[in-house]
Amino acid sequence: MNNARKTHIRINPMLPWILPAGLILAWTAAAELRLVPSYVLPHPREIIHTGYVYIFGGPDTGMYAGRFVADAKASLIRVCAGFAVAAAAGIPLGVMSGRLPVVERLLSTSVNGIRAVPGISWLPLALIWFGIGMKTTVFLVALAAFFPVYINCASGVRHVSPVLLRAGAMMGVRRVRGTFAILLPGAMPSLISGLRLGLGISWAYLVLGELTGVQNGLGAVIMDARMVGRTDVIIVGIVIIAFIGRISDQMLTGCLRLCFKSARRSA
Amino acid sequence: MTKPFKVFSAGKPRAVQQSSILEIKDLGLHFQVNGSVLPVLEKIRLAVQPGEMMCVLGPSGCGKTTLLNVLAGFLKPGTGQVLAHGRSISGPGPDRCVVFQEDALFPWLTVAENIGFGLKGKGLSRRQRREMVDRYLDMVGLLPFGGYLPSEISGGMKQRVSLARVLILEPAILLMDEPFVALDSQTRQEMQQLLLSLWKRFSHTVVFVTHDVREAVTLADRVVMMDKNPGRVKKVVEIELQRPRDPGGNLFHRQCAQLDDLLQSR
Ligand SMILES: Nc1ncnc2c1ncn2[C@@H]1O[C@H](COP(=O)(O)OP(=O)(O)O)[C@@H](O)[C@H]1O
Ligand SMILES: [Mg+2]
Repeated sequence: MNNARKTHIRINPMLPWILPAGLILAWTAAAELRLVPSYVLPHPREIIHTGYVYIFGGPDTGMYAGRFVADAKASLIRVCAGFAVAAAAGIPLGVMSGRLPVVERLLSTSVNGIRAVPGISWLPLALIWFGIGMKTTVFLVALAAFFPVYINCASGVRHVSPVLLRAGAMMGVRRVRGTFAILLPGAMPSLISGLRLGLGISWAYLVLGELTGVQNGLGAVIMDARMVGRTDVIIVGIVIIAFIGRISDQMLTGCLRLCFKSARRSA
Repeated sequence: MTKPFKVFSAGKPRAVQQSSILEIKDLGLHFQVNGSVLPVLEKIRLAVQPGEMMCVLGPSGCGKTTLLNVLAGFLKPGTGQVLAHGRSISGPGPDRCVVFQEDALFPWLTVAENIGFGLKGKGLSRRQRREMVDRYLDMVGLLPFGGYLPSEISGGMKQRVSLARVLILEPAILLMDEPFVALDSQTRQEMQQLLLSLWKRFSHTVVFVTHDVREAVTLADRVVMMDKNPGRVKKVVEIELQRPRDPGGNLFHRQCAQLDDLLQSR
């Protein structure tokens, strides 16, 4: 795995922040000069204030004050549940279909067919089956996150070098140990990409699931704010989801690295 | 861990004909390539004695790797029979270990973890395993490198690890598929000497595939010369040179020249 060692080019550490900073600058300028009305794009100052109140509560206890913790908790539970279902189904099925041509043949047509259906078209059906709330959201998240996990896992397993499997077989490794000691570590880089993609999509479908009128959750707040014309709250919701999404991605990679040698050493 | 054939010492003249540890009886094998049949091995007949160092010498594409894969149990014979310890080979196993031509170490394991890989599930304690791994690391001269990853060591060192991880399983038979071709000539000679010293110490049976005449003369008790299209045994030559062999010596050169001639002849 020589390609795991990347050549280090010196890059200015400020580089990733140039784009957001420029954006915020332009935004502030537009707001100061009143280029856009504030109900379309509120002043960043207002966003910060709204965000503060939303997270910590405030003296002017509006309807959004201090709701953050409850919303984030509700959303996190839904994402985690959906993502866990996706991983629990996607990894074993991916391993089997990457290793056993029979399973691959059995699954590939159906999986690719279902995958071609945009996730949003499941929403009406999910509402009929599960009603508004937790179950629908988890269903949508699980369904959407399953595909990247499954597909990347299968392809990773398929591309584990056959000579490694032979080496294992000659050292007396049987099927079960071979799966955990050779196939999964060998497929780890793909597996990580699949899980990360899946988690990212989980957040997208979380919002979709919560747009349907559930009581709490980050997506629910956004939808709610639209009804009452609180653009600032919508933007706060978006920024918070971006932050939590980014952090959860880093936590996922961090956990995998913590738990698996192959994750630490191969990517 | 039983080693039924450990009693015979390596390189000694085989005064008494022992029963063969490997027996290849009229082995034939073909591949299906694009619907047509490609015969790769034809009527291979060989017997390998316990403790023997046998080299298989032949041009590229003559089926040497395929033959080794059958002995290892990765491929089933098409026709004929292959016996190890008098029993038909049913699959790969730690009594017949392979050192592969290409890098076959687990890239996510350190050198020490790679060497200890085959010991898992043998009911050894962690400490016993560590001690064994250290012993074999030392044996192949890699004691300071136990914590390195395969991507951090040279090609020669990788093949030392490949050797150590199979020797630790104390296989009766060692199958080696051009393990040193990718190395520079200096390193290759070092590896040949290492192999010879380990063989002298463990007296396992070795089937060593090569296309290098000098390598075969350096190592072998017997050289099986193969021909291609389809792969078959052309001639078996005993190498009578005294050990340790002097690769600068006259006899050595003459032996090489003889094998070269045989390789060239039709
Ligand atoms: N899995 C395979 N499928 C089809 N043909 C193969 C396969 N493996 C090897 N061959 C063919 O068999 C012949 C012998 O190959 P190999 O045993 O690798 O030769 P060598 O190791 O002596 O170079 C070659 O012509 C090769 O193309
Ligand atoms: Mg070969």
